[in-house]
Amino acid sequence: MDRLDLSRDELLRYSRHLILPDVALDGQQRIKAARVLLVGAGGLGSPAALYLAAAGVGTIGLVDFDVVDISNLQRQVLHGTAAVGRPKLESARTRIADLNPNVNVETHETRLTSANALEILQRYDVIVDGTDNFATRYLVNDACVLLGKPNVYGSIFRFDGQASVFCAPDGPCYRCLFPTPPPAGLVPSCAEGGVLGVLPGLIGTIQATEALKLILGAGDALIGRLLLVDALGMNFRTVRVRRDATCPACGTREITRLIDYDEYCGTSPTAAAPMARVPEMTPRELADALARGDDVQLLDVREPYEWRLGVLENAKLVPLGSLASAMSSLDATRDVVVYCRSGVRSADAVQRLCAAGFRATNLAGGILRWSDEVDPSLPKY
Amino acid sequence: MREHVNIFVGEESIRFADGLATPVDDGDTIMIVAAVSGG
Repeated sequence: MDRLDLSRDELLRYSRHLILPDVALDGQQRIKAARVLLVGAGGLGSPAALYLAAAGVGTIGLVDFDVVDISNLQRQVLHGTAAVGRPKLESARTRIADLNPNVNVETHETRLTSANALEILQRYDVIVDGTDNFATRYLVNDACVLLGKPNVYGSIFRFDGQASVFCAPDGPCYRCLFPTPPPAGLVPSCAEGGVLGVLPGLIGTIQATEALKLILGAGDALIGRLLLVDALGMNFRTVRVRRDATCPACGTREITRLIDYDEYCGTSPTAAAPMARVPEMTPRELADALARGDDVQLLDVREPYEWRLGVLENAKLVPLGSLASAMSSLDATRDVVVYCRSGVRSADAVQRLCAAGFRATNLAGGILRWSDEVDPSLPKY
Repeated sequence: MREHVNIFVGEESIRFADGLATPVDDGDTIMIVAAVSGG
């Protein structure tokens, strides 16, 4: 890392760093010379980008291909209401330029793939993983191992968060902790399970802290440790992550090039996920069947707090967790159509109902697609 | 045990001890940590 001189304005801007013994002028110059890549400008990337920019990181790279959606604003503090519908990277660039015009922002408006990851990541000193899916997490990890770049990891779900620093010299990597991804569809995403809006603020700022410590060479980074944040109990615990000698990435080094991570995680659009094989119908087909007066038992497998947000007419509420005990109350001689918010939980229910001998069909796309294609008065959430 | 789930007895993963046969003492904290992907 080269060191760069600071202007008079910068000396004033960073004065609270300059009087800090572990940063001081030398450290601030290191921060200015540093190049940090944020993979994802969403929940984790937002606070990380804001604090790294405020701290004076000289170059911040951002990888994202999404546009700002109004449902992002509950936690993605990099973006504002005026940016809804605009590319996240455009919104990020504007906000960072306002926060600290000394920061050089490099935008990579693309999905990170095996084809472009090495080329993008190699230009940076520190990688911050703020992605929202397993495929990209394994991709970022393997690319960091191959390039020898530290991977500042963070991940969130509901009220729980995890943070660590992987791929540091002699430290473990993500695969040492989680050798293989969960089967597709088993672990819900934040879009399916929800997340407390503040939680990515907690975890993303921890990632920013670790990135700065790596740049400064100060303190003890979360290398070989996994920080577990429980926001409901408000407990912070760390557990040990050992380097696994049999790890195919950083141990045996069997992984010598990047693979197809969507295929690997079972999330490829062409790889039929186990749950995609259940019988399904479109919202329009169901609406037509109901209009014809077809005899259909309509089953809503969401939770009661979701049911209160809006339902399909004549549906029966059977939360997925109580499906097994509710089966005896269903009529096995009648067709069953199952729905949820987006069609994932209901596919699981259909699979179980069919196994139990019911003629069950999944409503593809759930409430969200029903609202788009049949009845816009049903609110999406 | 699925590989996206880790069980820790105290600070140590049972994968690097005796797996599900890892001895547990009175007062030990057991944590089940599953991979999550949200960001």
